Amino acid sequence: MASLTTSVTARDSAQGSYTLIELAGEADVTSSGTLLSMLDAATRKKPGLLIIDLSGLRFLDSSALEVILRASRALSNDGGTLALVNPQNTVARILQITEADQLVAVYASVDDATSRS
Amino acid sequence: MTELTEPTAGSSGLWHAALFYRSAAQFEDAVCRFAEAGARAGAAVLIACTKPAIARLRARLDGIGNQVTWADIAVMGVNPGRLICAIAAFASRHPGRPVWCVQQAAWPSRPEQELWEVLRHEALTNLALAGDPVRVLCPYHADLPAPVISCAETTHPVITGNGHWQHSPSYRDTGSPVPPECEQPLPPPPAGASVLPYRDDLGAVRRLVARHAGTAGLPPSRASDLVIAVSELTANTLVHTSRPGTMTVWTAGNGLTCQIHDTGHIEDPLAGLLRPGLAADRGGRGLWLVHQLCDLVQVRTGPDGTIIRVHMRIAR
Repeated sequence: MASLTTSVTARDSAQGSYTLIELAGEADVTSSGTLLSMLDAATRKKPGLLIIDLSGLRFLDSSALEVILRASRALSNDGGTLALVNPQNTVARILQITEADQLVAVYASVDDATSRS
Repeated sequence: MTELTEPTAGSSGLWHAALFYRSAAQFEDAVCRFAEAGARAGAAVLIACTKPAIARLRARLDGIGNQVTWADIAVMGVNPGRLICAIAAFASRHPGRPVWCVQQAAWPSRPEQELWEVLRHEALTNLALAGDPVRVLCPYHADLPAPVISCAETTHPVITGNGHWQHSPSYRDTGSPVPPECEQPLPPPPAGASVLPYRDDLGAVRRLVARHAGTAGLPPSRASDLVIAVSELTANTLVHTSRPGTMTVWTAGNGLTCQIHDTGHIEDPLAGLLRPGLAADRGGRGLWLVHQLCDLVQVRTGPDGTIIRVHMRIAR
């Protein structure tokens, strides 16, 4: 199993409340099941804004990316928005080459995401 | 042998021709006539050639040069496995128009192992783009190795050498879509290559590849690309087979090579060559990603297992 750690917290900002998910470690096909159940649970609560902070994530493969894109579709079907924050080198590269960064908004920081989403 | 007229925009479906040339003048004449006929027919014209050829063609295609999309084939076709989706992407940017494309993927100094991947791509083009209103003209210098020229004749339905288009007498449109010449076994990895059996510890695979990429002097962004590619391939082993696989990595010549060997069988010859839908719900991205990220991808697959080799060039 790749070492993926996750945390989910409900937060408030000047613009309203949002859900923050922080991912750290490596997300690949061996951990995409964990990621799927966590994102499913978070999207079922229909948050208006779900932010995934990627700054601690060293690796993301296409199966884990698909789980994230699926959460994004589920959210937008309910009128919500998914935002990604601060992807590092390899993670930014897979978002770019798959053009996932054109399907989901990517911000430099959580503050950016809350003020511009 | 039937002589064909210039292809016209009226004909439907793929038109795929090889141009066998001996001189730069012959190459330029044929490409210019093709591009001009395409422009007259209202087609979107893409010319993907070597940089020196582009410079000469631009000067000659003065009148229609601004209607042509130019691409450096050394970039667009560095991995021949990207060309089908590059042509499909060009077509999708010009909806409702026929597409005429010159594709000099078999440039004369290209190493032979790469030329065989070009020919595999040529053969699969006939399958992938069969029903599309696309004309593809592929120049081959007559001094390329004889087996390469002969395989180009079997993979192009139309050929020309002397200004006349002809049906290729040796074109094969039955049986396996990939010619056997393109399926030759790969030479074994060198003694001293690093070998790592794996099943679900893909993190260990990624760390070994990253370490070799660093030692070999691959720049960090290209090292990331290779790590992503190998991770996708080893993830496919885990998802599609029930046995462990073996990853082997070595440096040779001008690059770094990783080989993934497992018990799977990739039955679709077009796997990874067409862009999966952006919002596709599941799967299909892995092998396509590998083709986008690596400089050369060699796939040998059958009921006994699959070997995939990916190469990254290292600039010296």
